[in-house]
Amino acid sequence: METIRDIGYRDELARFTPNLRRYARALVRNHSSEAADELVQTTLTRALGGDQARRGARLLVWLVSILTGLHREQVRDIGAEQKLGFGGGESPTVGSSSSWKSARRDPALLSSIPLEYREALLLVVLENMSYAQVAECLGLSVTTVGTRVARARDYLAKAQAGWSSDKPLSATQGKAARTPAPYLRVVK
Amino acid sequence: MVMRPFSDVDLHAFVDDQVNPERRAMIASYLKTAPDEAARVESWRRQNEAIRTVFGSAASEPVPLWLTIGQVASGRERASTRPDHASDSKSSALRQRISSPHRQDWSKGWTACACVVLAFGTGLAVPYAAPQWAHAVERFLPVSPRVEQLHRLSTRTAEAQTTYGTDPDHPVEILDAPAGSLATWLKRHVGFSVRVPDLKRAGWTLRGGRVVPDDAGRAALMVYENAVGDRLSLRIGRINNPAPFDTSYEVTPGPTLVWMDGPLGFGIASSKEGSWLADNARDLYRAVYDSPES
Repeated sequence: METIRDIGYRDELARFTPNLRRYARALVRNHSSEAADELVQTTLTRALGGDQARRGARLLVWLVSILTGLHREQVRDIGAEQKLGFGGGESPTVGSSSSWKSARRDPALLSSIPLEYREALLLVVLENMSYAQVAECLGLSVTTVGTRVARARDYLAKAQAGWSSDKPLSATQGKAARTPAPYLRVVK
Repeated sequence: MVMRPFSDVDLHAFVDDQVNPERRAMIASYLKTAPDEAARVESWRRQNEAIRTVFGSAASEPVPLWLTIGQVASGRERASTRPDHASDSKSSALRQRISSPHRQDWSKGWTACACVVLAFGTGLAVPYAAPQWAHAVERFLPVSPRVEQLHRLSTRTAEAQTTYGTDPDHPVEILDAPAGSLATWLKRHVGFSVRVPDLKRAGWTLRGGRVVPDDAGRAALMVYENAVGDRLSLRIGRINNPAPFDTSYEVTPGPTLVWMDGPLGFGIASSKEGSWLADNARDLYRAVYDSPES
């Protein structure tokens, strides 16, 4: 039943699975690895039923656009992110214990970035995509991608500023931001 | 106010490496003359670093077995034969959960059933609702204990290889000198007999061993090296509720080579790149059993 073509396609899907997991982990609420992996699984399931002509970078772009769409659908369905940034963008309340907790779950403060901007930023930063590729993933113009990345960084900077004036975490946060410990930098 | 030669969009593109080399050089030299702008650019660069630091490693974690393409594909085939296959259109999170991957492992056929029946039949009332996969129960799903255990083995083996196996100078606590002493030492420290296989015929010389953490208790790690300095780690730990009779191996993404044999779980990881482990899985698996004791 399986043709050689199928097998090659599956290898390609397997090759991109780690990329999808990384992107999904950063994208989903509280960075739950379970929620992220379920998104990846649904994405792969769709991809297996889809057009197998895409390979390489084009395939990754397609997979990412599926995953992004699924995630948006989930966010809409559950309404879970009404507060955590879908359209709104909420910076953590400085100094309160609940903001401290949310920062532990969200060490990079990504939930302070509205979803549409977060998607663009993550693809550029984590997946090393060009603005043009991100534009294709998200169905935007290249200019809009540039704007969204810039907006995302503004939100993030605001959230970080909120943090650095906050007592309990300021020391560690500031230090981590200034000199990222080299041994922590496991990239790729 | 002085006109800024570059817009914010330009500067963001600069940080993200989206500009051509010529423009890149222009922006870089402009930033030398504009400390305020340079500071902003630097803060964005640090944001990037922070995000990569926190999430970058998610891509190098071993992919869980249920997310491997073969598993996803067989789940999909099954789903498409189910009458209630409507989940592709407007999939709610709940429906996705129900049509989840874990289910298929039970339906893998009669072997699984036979094992369970046999286990109960012979009085080995296996408590399959053991705590180590309780988190899966929370997801409403029956999980094959074998898949769950192999996944744990894979994760633990990959961790041990990354943490100790790749250490250039001190991968091990104890050298095997005099020969044979390592097995004794390991047995004393992990609490079960460990056979230290000699993999010289496969080109791997034993560097030594160490004790590594396990979910409950300790596991043994043996580190081997070949002539060109590649490393290979063999991790042996205890298995709770071992699945009877199934000693077949699996190569999981990571990659690791894992299998269970009675009460023990085995895992092999190597610093060699790419598909090497998958290509040599059979030989390594056999070498562990066939080789003389070190």
